[in-house]
Amino acid sequence: MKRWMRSPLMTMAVIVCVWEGIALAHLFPATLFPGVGTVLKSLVKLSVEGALIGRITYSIGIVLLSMAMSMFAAGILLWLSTRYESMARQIGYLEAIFNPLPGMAVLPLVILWVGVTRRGMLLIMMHAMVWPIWAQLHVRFGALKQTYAAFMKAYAVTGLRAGYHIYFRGAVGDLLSSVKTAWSRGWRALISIEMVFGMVGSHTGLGWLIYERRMYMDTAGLYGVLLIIALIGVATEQGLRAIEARVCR
Amino acid sequence: MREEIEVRQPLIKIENLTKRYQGTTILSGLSFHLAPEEVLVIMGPSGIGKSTLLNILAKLMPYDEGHIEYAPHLFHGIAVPLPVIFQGTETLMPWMTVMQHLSLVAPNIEEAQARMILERVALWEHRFKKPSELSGGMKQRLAFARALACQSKVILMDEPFTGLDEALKESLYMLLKSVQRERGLSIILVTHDTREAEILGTRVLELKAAETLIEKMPAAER
Repeated sequence: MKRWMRSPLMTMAVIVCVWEGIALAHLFPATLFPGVGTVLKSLVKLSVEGALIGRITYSIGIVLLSMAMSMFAAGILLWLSTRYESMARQIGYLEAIFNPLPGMAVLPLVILWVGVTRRGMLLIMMHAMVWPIWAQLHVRFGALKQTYAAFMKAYAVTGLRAGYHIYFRGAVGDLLSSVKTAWSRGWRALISIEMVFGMVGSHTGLGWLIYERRMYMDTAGLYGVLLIIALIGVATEQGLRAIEARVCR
Repeated sequence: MREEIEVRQPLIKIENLTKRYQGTTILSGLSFHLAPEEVLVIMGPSGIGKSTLLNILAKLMPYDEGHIEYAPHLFHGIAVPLPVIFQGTETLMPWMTVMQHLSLVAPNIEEAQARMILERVALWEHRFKKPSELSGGMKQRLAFARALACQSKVILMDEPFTGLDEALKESLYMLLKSVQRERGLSIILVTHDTREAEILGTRVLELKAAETLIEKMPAAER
């Protein structure tokens, strides 16, 4: 298969063509299903007004910050669960309780505890991101421990040396794959939270922008923001895939 | 004089070693020793407890009764005094190069030293390759090189040649014998292959049952 055929741009091009075809066929009213040109014009307008860039930056910043915090928390949980078998069990139970719970389900509790604040937002984001990272890496670490435990003991590979050379390097592929899952869960949580939380302080992100566009009946702008979210998702996926290919070569 | 006495003394002396697991006695009252510069082969059928015995000697597993005495000079200035070459090549890390395998077990190894070892096992040319790029024989040689990098006088081997074809085994036997002589290594080799025991062993012990260890003379000595 040729390289351009596998490109995500190819997928986007097909979607754009189908979209434009449906719009031109006038199967739906133009206000509900605007053409690609109208969506792009609306995006340009939002950019010129300065709304788009600031909100993209804000949303990505929040996801990156909560990703860093989630990775740190998952790291501590992993250390505990690898070091102590009893902790592995306890954390496993916690994961079974919390991982299936969507961020929206814990939202009322978080609002009660910390209010509609940036802290609350980060808490929900972490809830969405920390469990997939821990769960996948815990399974991988278990497999690595089983394979290399005798080797590490016989060759005195312990502490940070074992942590980096065996566990980290042996789990890089799983780390990236769990980061991909966490990223998508984080995005999902962020957009939903923003649509419920609305404004947190004086800053808002893409979720609130979607909500705002819908309130103003700016359907083209709404689609435009969704398009931006999709593009960010594709760019992240491509970036992580490139890192994975480089690291796991 | 003192050094000479130390060198002639057994490197590992095992007395009345007993190991039980979940109520079953796996090894009972075994006594033997490992002399300097010998290849001691421990033979026996599968499941008799050969690997358990090797793991106990490598300090990877506790034992219930008896006594194991290691020559003190084995541990002087050596981080890994009892390197083990495990069965198969699963303990090689797919994400590490040949060179990185050596520096993982011997972090302070100098390049010249690593080169000497890798040249001896014909892997220097392949030092930047990962295990997936190596053949079965090369992987086994890498496991051997990794044990050599520890600079220990003793190497413990748990059926390292299982699964390799005969031609490959022959070349590895020759390599092992020559390196063992050059470096004055003492090796405990666990195997169920009679031919392997006869070619490599300077002394062969056959584990018949939990408590029976019979000393056999290898073919070369007969």
